[in-house]
Amino acid sequence: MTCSETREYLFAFLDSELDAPLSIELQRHVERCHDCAREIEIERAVKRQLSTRLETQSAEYVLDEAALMRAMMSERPSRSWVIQRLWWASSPLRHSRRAGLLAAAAIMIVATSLWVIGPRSHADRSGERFTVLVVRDFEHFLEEGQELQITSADPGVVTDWLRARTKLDMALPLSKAPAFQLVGGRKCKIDGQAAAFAVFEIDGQPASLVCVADDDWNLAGMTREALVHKPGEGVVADVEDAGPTYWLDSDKGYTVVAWKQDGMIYAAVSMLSREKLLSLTTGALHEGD
Amino acid sequence: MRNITFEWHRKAQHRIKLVPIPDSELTEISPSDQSEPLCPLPTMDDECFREFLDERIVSALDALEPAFRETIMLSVSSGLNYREIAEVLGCPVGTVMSRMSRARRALRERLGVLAQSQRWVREGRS
Repeated sequence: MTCSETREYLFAFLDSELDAPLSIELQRHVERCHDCAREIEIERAVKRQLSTRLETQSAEYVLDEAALMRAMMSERPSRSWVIQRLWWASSPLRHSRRAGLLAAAAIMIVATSLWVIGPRSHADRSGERFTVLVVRDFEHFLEEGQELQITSADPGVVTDWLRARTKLDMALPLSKAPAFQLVGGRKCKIDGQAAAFAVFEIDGQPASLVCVADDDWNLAGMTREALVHKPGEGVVADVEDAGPTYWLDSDKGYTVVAWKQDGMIYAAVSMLSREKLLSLTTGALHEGD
Repeated sequence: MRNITFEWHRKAQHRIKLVPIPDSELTEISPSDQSEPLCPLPTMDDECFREFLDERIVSALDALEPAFRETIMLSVSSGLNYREIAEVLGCPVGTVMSRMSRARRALRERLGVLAQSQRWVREGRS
């Protein structure tokens, strides 16, 4: 075996993936070649440190019911990293290898098939209630630790990223209120339709904002109300019905506040009160509260 | 004297048996290996060395495409073998091998310049 062949097979050898005859050949070469022996020495050191790095990262953030809450409230510099890694900490692969394999494979198959099938027309949709769909999506994010594809507190940056990926003409709300913080976003699908998914932190609590094209969604069960924010009174029903219109609902303890704007429908989901959630749309008005 | 020499050669034919080595067992050592020895590699007990590796590992992981990062995490952190990773990712084992190789090379590139300047490896081998 030559030095270049040794380098070619090096990683497979270190991962015990090399056939026995090749493995013996490689070992025989390394016994005589100091340069290649050093390559293996370095790669073993890198692998060991890589393993330490990844295990430390996963062990630090084992997901439980409150993990996202803790992550949301943790120090700012580490938070993005925590959220990006939560999917891994919660992965069943870490707990049961075989069950994890099956579960992960199933998820990948479903995800892949959804991707291949692509966006469906609304006639093909399940017709499930919009509230149920967006709550389920938020639950998946919290419980399965789905990875955020972009992490930034800048609504402009996240909006640009989401618009480019989802092809939706959407915009995230702007707010300078200190209790209102954008964490990041990801592209997703709601009932087969391309959707933008953003995560906010409001008073230290997570909230999602899903945005999809306003395309004949099943809004059954949602209460339609015209609401306005009045200083000192918070959000109240607009008796003259002249204020912005919202669709309000709840499911599994989550509050859902939806509104329509420029051909899009936005739905905010959280354990927070509807008043707090409405701050997503009227964040600027709440700055003085 | 002549008899002693003859006897030694006669016995040597029995002592020394030349066996042809198949090509597959031949090993080719690069000429550079004959030059001056490399500097010793620090051990993993050396905190500075661990930090040096860690810094480069983090930056290399962050720069990796998600598919490559995912593959190397499944291998190193979960201990799955290539076949199992291929099952999880729904791709051929060859793809896993090439992703692992590319991910590792990306890590290695981060070590390259310093590894050469410290004479841990020879030039052109990092």
